[in-house]
Amino acid sequence: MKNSDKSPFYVGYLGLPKELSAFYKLLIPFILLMFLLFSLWHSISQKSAGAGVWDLTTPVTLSGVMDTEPYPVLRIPSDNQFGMRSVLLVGLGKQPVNDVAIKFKGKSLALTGNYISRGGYEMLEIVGAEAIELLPVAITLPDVSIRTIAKTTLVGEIVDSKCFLGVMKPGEGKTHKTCAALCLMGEMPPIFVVKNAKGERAGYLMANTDHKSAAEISVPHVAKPINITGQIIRRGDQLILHIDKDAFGDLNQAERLAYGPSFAEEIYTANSQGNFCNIPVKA
Amino acid sequence: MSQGYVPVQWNSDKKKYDLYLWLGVILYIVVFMGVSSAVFKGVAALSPAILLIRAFGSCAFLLLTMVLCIGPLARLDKRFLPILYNRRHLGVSTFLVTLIHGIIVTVWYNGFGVINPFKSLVSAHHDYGSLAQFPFEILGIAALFILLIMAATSHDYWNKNLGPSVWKSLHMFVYIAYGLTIAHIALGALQTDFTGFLPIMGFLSVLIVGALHLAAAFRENRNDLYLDRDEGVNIGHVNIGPWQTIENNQAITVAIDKNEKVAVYRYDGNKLAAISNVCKHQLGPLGEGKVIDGCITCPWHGYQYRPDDGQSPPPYTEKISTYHVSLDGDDMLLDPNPLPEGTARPVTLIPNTDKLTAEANAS
Ligand code: FES
Repeated sequence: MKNSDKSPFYVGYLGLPKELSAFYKLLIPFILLMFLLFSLWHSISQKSAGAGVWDLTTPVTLSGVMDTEPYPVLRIPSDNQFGMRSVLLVGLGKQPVNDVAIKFKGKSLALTGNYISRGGYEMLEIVGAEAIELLPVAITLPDVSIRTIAKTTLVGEIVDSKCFLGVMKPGEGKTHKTCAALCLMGEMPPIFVVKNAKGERAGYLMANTDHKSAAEISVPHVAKPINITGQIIRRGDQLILHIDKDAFGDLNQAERLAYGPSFAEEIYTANSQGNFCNIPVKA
Repeated sequence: MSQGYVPVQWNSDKKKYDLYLWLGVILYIVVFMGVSSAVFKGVAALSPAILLIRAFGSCAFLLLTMVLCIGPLARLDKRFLPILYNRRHLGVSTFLVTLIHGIIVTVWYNGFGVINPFKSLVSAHHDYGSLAQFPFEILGIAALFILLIMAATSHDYWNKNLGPSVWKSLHMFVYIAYGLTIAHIALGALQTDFTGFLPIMGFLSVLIVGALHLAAAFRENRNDLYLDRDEGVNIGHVNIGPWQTIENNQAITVAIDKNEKVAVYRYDGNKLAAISNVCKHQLGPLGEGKVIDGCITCPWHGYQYRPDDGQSPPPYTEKISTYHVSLDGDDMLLDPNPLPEGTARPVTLIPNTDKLTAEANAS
């Protein structure tokens, strides 16, 4: 390569020649500006991860009756149409609270923990043994026997409830897959998130046909679009999808395209507060 | 050069280089975190840990793109040489930023669970047969590993002990790391969201890196003189054209073989000397250097060689091959047979160039 004798030539130990400092006085701010613009562009072009909340500022105390099936849950009397609200219970990190739940099954308790919620779902993250207080007076609840609603096949994505409901945002899709699998191994309740033609989403808690945890059998199918055939049941205020190990099916190419990105997209606006909710399923 | 090794031979330029580099990195992260938390707030807030993962991951990709652009840029325009001079600092910084990305991913996504985080990181995906479900984490881990090896061996100590050819081949792995990173992004983040910044940035990066490398290769081919070695060996020399094509204190590069290039220098106005084009340090192109203080100076990191015997001035001990060059009228005749490294041979004087010499002395 030719260059004129006068062209600036840089040798580290001799320092930057004068002719080059003007060049670098422009180049350095230019590169820094590019960093700034890329960062701005990247940050504002991200997608919303919905309206999930994980409140670490003020612990919440809730009183109700402990149930263990299909997952640890605190059933709290309410004046809604079902006469109760069911709050899922999980431990710190990706750890279950199954032992505690079994120990206190059927007991009336006051539980303190971090409140997690999204759409119609509520969850409490129990922080330690001191968070559990036995109530002197028993709480009475309406009947929670299982009512069968419909057998159906749905297309959607399995998520782990703890992350999806607010602890991780976003808590779904491929980048979150290792975490979702780890959460299911730690007995976080799996939820099958589906979307309808309007893009509205619903989540069905998943359980085995014997109404026990489906977390373990869901692990290989988590965080990707699949179809599931199962029975939708209602227990109290909870809509639950009963499945067995043969319930999972892969999508063919056309179905996958129709489903769209594996990230089950959710349009969040301040008014809608996120439209993740229970879409009623026709019988 | 071959003197005692210290971790970094700091000088004020290197300090400034690192200062601006990390200013850029911090600017990128802080703006990303600030703007993201302003845009997505309240119940719509995104997880800070996930924002950090995105910020460090995309920043590492930008830095890696820069690392790959510097080489061809410096060949196309000498004003970029100072950035090349300290490229290893950029490389080590790229590794550190990538490492932070990897650590946060491992802790946040794979920690706090019922199995070991590292096991969790590599075991959840196992579908190597499907692109959509390919375990993209493995690709990222492989890229990080390559960056680690390169950062760890970036020091001249390793360059010296592995030998420049091995070292250079090792550092060519940066292209593999780049490919792995592109695949890591395409099969990871882009599988969950194909809109916005990342796909465009990835595309631009590949486009710019590719175009710069093509342009630099084209430029090099155009500027080099290609000669047939066999013919030259038969008759003992090759004609490489008139000496006037060489600017004073600079060189032309002559390719006498696919893998052998010779730098033919003119200096002090009327002296001609041919040496190997390959610097002993990191195989830099000596023909693109200059004669400074009577020594041929490598454009990359400033190693120096005496034109008369191809040896570095004491206390340094590097030696490169020298070549015979003679004159037939104005035409230079180059003997394509290299002399052993560090061999002195008579420097060719261009006759009747008193005016040139005077000019050179005056400048
Ligand atoms: S390659 Fe480093 S000084 Fe020549």
